[in-house]
Amino acid sequence: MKISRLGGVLEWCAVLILFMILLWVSGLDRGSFTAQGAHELSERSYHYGPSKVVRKVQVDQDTVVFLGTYKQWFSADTVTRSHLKWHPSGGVAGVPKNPEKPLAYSWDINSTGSDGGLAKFYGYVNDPDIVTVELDVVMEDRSSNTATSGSERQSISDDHMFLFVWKTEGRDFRWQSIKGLDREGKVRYENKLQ
Amino acid sequence: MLKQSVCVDPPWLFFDFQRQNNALGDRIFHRVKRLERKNDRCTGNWVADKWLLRSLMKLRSMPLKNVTVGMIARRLLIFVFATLLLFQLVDWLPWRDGNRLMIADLKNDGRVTAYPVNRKLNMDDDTFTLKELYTTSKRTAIRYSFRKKVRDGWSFPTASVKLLNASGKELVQHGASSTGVPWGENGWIYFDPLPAGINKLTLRYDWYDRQGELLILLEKEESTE
Repeated sequence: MKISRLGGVLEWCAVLILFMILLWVSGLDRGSFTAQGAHELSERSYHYGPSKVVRKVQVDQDTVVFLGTYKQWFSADTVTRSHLKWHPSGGVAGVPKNPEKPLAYSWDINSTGSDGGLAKFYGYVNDPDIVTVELDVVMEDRSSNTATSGSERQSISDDHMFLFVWKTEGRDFRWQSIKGLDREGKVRYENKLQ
Repeated sequence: MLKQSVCVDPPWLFFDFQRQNNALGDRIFHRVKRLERKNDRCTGNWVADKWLLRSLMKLRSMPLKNVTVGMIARRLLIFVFATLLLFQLVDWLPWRDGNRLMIADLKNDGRVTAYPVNRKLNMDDDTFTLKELYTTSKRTAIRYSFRKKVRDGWSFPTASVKLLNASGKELVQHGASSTGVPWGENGWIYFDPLPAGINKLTLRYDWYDRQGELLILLEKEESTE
C-alpha cells in the first residue's frame, strides 16, 4: 500500500515537471510583471542601452512610455500590459541626438488591435534657447472619413525631451510640421514633414 | 481414536484482501499477519476471529476501488502534456527545421556553393554563430544560430549584421528570416551576390556602440548543385 502511495506522489511530480517544461517551451512565461522589467527586457534583447530613463509617461493603466537617453541617442520605449504581464511594444530603437541640429525627432505609429495602439512623436532638443515645441498634425478618422487638424505644444524641461502621444483609435496621423520656439515665441527651428 | 493432524490454511488466506487498496484492507492485512505469527497451521488451532471474518465479508462486498480519481487525473495530465511536448519536439528535429526549403530556394538561382564556417561572435550576453555561407550567382546567404541569455524580448536585429568584401565594400542586405526556439533563434540573412574571385569576407556587427568582426576565408569548399 505504501508503495502505491509513493508511486502516486512520483506521478504528481512528473505532472509538475512536464507542466513546467511545457510552459518554458510554449513561451507563455514571457514578459515581465513590472513595466520597468519589460523596458529593460526590451533594451537588452535589442542590444541597446541600458538607457537612462529621463521621464516615465503613464499613458493609461496598461501603457507606459519610457523616455530615455543613452550616449548619443534618445528613445521612447513603449511597454504594454496584457493578461497580467508587461511586454515590449515598440520605440526601443535609439535615435541620434544630432547635436549640430537644434532638435532631433522621430515618430512611431502602432495601430494594431481594436483598442488601437499609440501614435508617438518624440524628440530631443539640443538648442538651449528652444523652450517650446509645437507639432502640427492632421488626424484622419477612417470610419467617418473626416480630418481634424490640430496643433499641440509642449514646454521643454531639464530632460530636454518631448513626447506627443495619442491613442490611434482608428485614426491615421499625418505629421505636418515640427517647430522649436524660444522664450519670445520666435521660431528657431522648423521642419515641414508633409 | 487417533486425532489426525491436518495442516490447514485458515479460510481468510484464500481471499485476496490485498487487492483492496484502502484502510480496511490494510487493517485486515495487519490482523492476519499478527494471527499467522501467533498460530501454527499444523495444529489446526485457529482462533475464530469474529472481527476478521466480519471484516472480510464487508471487504468482499465493497466494489473494487483500486483506481482512484486522483490516479485518473494525474495519468490523464501526464498523457496530455507528454503529447503536447512531443508535437513541439517534432518541430525541432533536424530534418524538419525548414533549412531544406531555404536551400532548395537558393538552388532556384542555379549553382549553390556552401562554405561551412561555424564561427561565433559575442553580442552583449548573447552568442551569434555563423553556421554556413552560401553563394549563388544572384545572392549570398548566411545561416546563423543565435543563443540568447534571456530568451524574451525582441528577436535578433539582423540589420546589425553586415558583410564586407576584402576592400571594405559592403554587400547590401536584402532580407532575413528566422525561427524562434526556446533558447534563441535560427535564421537566414541574404545579401548581394559575391563578386567573382573573392575568397575573403568580413562579417561585421555594427550596432549603436557595439562592434564585432569575423574574418571568413572561403577556402574550404563544399559544392552543392
